[in-house]
Amino acid sequence: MAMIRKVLVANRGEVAVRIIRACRELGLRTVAVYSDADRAALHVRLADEAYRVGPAPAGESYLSIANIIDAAVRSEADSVHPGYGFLAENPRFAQACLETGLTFVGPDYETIRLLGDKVEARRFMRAAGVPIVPGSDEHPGKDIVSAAERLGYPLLIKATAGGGGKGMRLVRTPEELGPALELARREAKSAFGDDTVYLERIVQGARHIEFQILGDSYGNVIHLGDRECSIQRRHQKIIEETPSRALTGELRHRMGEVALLAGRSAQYTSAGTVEFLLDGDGNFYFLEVNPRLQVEHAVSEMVTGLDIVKEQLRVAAGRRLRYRQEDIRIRGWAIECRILAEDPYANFAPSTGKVTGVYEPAGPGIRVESGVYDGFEVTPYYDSLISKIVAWGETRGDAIMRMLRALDEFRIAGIKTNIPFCQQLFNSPSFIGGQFDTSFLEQRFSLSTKRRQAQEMVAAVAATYVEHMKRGLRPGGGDAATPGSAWRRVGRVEAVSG
Amino acid sequence: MKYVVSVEGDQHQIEIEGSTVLMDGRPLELDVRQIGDLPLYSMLLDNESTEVSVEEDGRFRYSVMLAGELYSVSVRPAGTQPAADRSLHLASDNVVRAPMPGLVTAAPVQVGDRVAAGQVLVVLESMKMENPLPAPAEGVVHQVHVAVGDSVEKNQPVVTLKYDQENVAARDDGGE
Repeated sequence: MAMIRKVLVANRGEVAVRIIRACRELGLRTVAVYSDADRAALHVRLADEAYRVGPAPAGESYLSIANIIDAAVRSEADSVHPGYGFLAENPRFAQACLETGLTFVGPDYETIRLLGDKVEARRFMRAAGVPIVPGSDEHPGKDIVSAAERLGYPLLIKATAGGGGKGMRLVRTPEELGPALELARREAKSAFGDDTVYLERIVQGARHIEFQILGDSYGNVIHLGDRECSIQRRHQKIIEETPSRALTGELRHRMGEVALLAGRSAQYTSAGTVEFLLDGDGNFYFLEVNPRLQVEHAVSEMVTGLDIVKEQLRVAAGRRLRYRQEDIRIRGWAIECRILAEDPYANFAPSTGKVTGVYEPAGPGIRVESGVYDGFEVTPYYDSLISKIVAWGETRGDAIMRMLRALDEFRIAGIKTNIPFCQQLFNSPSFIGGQFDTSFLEQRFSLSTKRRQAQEMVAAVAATYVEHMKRGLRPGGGDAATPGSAWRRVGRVEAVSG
Repeated sequence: MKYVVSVEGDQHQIEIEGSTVLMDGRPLELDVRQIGDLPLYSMLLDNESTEVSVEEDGRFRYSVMLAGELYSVSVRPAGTQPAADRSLHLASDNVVRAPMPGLVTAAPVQVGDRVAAGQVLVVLESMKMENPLPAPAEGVVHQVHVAVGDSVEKNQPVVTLKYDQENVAARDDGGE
């Protein structure tokens, strides 16, 4: 079996840093790749070696199979970890690694290809006995209009090659079907180069529940429990937690068994995620398998004590899983909050620019995965995830309080982030009570503009102070010549003399 | 020094004299330290410790972030004229600029088009998201500075609009 000594990390940002850390702890050499926008990024600075793979746009750098393979060959890396996003779910990349003699840290390319085609994956899982959301693809050959009648409205149009909400359309009435199909096909064509779509019944009031699985090359597959990922905006998860409040012990056990069935049927190796929709009556349906490390993997690590990235590397080197299902114990509660460079007060517009100052939370039960530092430049080329906070607590309440404490400590200057939005979310009665589904953020939650009198007063004093100092600095505006002396004039000298 | 301060519509008289603040006549002890050269301030107000971010938002205007909430504050020295209303100020500026760097993925309007307030003028792709740039007010498209596929920098003009009074004049001249 393949020996792994030197790992090329085909990614950037917090996940590249995460993987480099795991490699170092295993005594493996690390190779970073970077675009022109990322020469000074943290993953480059932390790796043993770094290779340029192209200009800033991802299509010419982090998404270029040829450039990444070339960097792997030049660096004499023996393996490639793709992280998530970029090329992680591209079967051609996994195949190119194999053909170059590189060990791909992930499932084999045929599995990635099978799971990447939504209709193929649904057919495969249905045949294996996994429940799927009723859809038009179950009766191929029938025309799509009669399929829609049979499924009933409202329904969802999805792209076969889909992902990230592209090519997805909600259809409420038969009249909307024709135009929506046309739009979805056009969007799918431009996003994936494939305009094949199918229809799925809407699961009302659904929660997004997923199971972390791990498999080795000897047919062993285990799961590390569930994750609740219903807090989403524009199909992007923002908060994830484990375990989910929505599952009873019995339901969790059944869903876990189905996740294992899905993994074993696909002869799954490495880390993956089996996603389900869960309705209010306890019915659950297979959604898809993400054949890669997941952004939210850290919450599962916090409650199980496993290091998923290290397990991926071990399994990729041909070793057996070190755990059986009965070895996995869930301890406490873990919640993740994604810190995004977006302005919640300007309709979540991306916020770019230089991070002029950052202070990250720490302390008991807090884990921060991040790629930012003082002077880091947030560019428009990549997604807006800059940092993740994971809070662990003995109970869900402890974890929430800890997360609020951590969000309160987080200081970041120079760019806008969604931190205030997350603070309000963690304080909302619905979130605290566990009463939410995937439509919660967009339909039942909005940024509060309710003001507290005491805070208004503090804000007023703070702004007045800054204006006052500024006036003191203006020529002829006062006796102060530098910020330091002006400062003392207001704050200290008087205090000392008083 | 006396100031007239308004926070979200509520007006206060604030006087700073040494380390004492008179808030609507009520005295409070103030001690402030700026953190490095960041717009971040550690404040002790009668020994209540808070940390606030204060960013200037135009003349006499500040955005204050405090405990996860954003406050718009205007501060003017007592006896001076109130600052001009920002929304009016915006409306008189007829150049729509890119609020962030990005790639133009759609430019659905053409010179001479009449647009409603909020109508999308240009779509910018930034950080893998599509960001529609709306018209700030009703008007007529006077110039489109960008085309689909262009990369734009922050604050780069994307569309120039003519607002109603100007439109009347333009029509009298026989249009563009």
